[in-house]
Amino acid sequence: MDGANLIGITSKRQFLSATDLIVERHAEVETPAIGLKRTSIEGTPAEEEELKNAYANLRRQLSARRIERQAGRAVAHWHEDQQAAEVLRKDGKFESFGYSKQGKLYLEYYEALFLLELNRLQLEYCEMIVSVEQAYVLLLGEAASEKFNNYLVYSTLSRAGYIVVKHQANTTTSTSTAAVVTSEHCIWALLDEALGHKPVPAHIKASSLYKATKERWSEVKQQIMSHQTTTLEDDNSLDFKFETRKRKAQSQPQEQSKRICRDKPTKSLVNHLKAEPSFKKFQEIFEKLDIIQLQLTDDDSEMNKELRHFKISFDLHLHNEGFRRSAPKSPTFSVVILPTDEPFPTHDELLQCWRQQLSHAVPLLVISVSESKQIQAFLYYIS
Amino acid sequence: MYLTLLNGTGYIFDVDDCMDLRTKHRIMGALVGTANSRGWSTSEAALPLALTNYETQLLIDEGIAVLVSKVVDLSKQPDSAKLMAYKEEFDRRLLAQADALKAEKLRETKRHVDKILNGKRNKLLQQGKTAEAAQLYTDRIYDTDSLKYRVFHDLWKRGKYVTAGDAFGADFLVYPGDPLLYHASHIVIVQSTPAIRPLELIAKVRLSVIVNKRCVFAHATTAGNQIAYQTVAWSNPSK
Repeated sequence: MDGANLIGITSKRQFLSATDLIVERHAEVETPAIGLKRTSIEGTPAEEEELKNAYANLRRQLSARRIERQAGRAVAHWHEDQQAAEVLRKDGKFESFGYSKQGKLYLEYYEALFLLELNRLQLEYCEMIVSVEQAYVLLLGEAASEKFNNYLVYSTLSRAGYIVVKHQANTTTSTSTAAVVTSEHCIWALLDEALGHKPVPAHIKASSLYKATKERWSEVKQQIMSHQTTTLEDDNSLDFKFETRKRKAQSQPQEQSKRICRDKPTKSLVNHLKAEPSFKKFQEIFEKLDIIQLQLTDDDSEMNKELRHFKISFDLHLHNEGFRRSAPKSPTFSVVILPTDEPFPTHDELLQCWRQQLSHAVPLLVISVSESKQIQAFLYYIS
Repeated sequence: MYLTLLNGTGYIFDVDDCMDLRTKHRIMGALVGTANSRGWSTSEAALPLALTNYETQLLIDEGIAVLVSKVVDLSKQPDSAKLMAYKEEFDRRLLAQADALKAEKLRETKRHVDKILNGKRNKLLQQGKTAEAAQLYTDRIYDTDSLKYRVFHDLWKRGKYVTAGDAFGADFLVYPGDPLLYHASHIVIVQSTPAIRPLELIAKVRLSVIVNKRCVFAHATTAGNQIAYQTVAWSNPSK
């Protein structure tokens, strides 16, 4: 674009006069109850009146001011070069907002815009207070980007009562950091690494037990792979031979069996096998083992190439669960925001996305923002 | 009217512009701002108003609005003179408030204070207006040759209120009056060919019947460059 396209616009922005400010400072805009909508135009005077009122209400709602005492808002400064809002003064509850970097508190762009629009933040740029329009341009940028939908989702979920924080990708849950690392933790971490492709957390790696456990782990693995017998072996070795001969059904008089059936309808033929000696042996073995569902059934290195990658944007926490930013627990939901016009994730893509989380128990909330800026959320539970 | 270029489409930050678009030009857009009010409900939306890209394109085509890029102006560093002026202005406004606050407390002497305030207000109004330099954005926002845009434009020209139809899984919704007061009367599905598959017809029509609307299939005529509409209504012969 060149200079020829430059046009001067007389800014419509004007400041309220002191008297108006004082009059409007505590004005609460109520959302008027909207009656039933009409289905057709009838042209009656009552209808015109209704429409006029609706417009007046809308105008009043949209004209709501953001007035606050000079010292009544938090203050942040926008660094254009770093694309970050540094908090200079906190005000009110700041528990679920911002992140610290080198001893300074910064706000994410969506947090800054949200607080600004809620009249809790005064954002300054080059020592001047920014307007809402300027905040949109500075924080979200002019180009089409995911930031706009992210902000819409953030704002909606926050106002719906969730604590929305940026997705925590590489921190551990508070429960495991707080506890003393035992060898059991080491084993689970190793299992996760081997089966879930998740890195071993640093605090477990640092433990003195970790090395010993890992050695033992590879020893056992070797044993299993080479079928070597060890001292662990049971002295009464198993006889895996099944009786393949046909078995006689328990011969009983017909009337009697009918009665039995009525009395014990749950007794099935399968239960007859429970008396077999091989069943007992298997039962004993299974009781010794912890059976864990294998989460990776496939070698997904090849499959991955064709899968679209979905990013988890936010973690949702509930207010009554005692959220602390310093030690976040595992979230209630993880939010994936679908890019515009992107089809919903397939089962495999969902699984891949789900696995990148810290805690596998967290369901995914897939949100799509439609053309009319409506938000649709779909919750995926994966078992 | 000026639209601010954001997210590849036009945004409105002014109440009057927003109301004008609605009442004079039947363009709805979507309110995407966070309302500064207690409680939460979907009706408590706030400015800015985000337009869909075909709405933006239509406003430009019809000469109702121009799209401008303000990023240069709004992110440039102010020079020291401008900053000084801004600070002086800011302090003056604060001082004026001090006067006004006193005035509120001293209601008896209000008559005398009023004159001073009026003088100050007029002065401030004159000074408060600053000129912004904005770049005219001339790139195309939406493909005007696309069938979707042509259908939107055609319906709009027929005097209908047209909004995005995603709430009903369609392309557009048509309202007899402002959506603030009226239910949509038609669900519009844009078809690339005049031929409609039976399963699709049943699905779309059944949906529209259930939500008490008419189902309209829109497609381009083969000969002329016009849009043809096919409206389907449910009839129950047993009644």
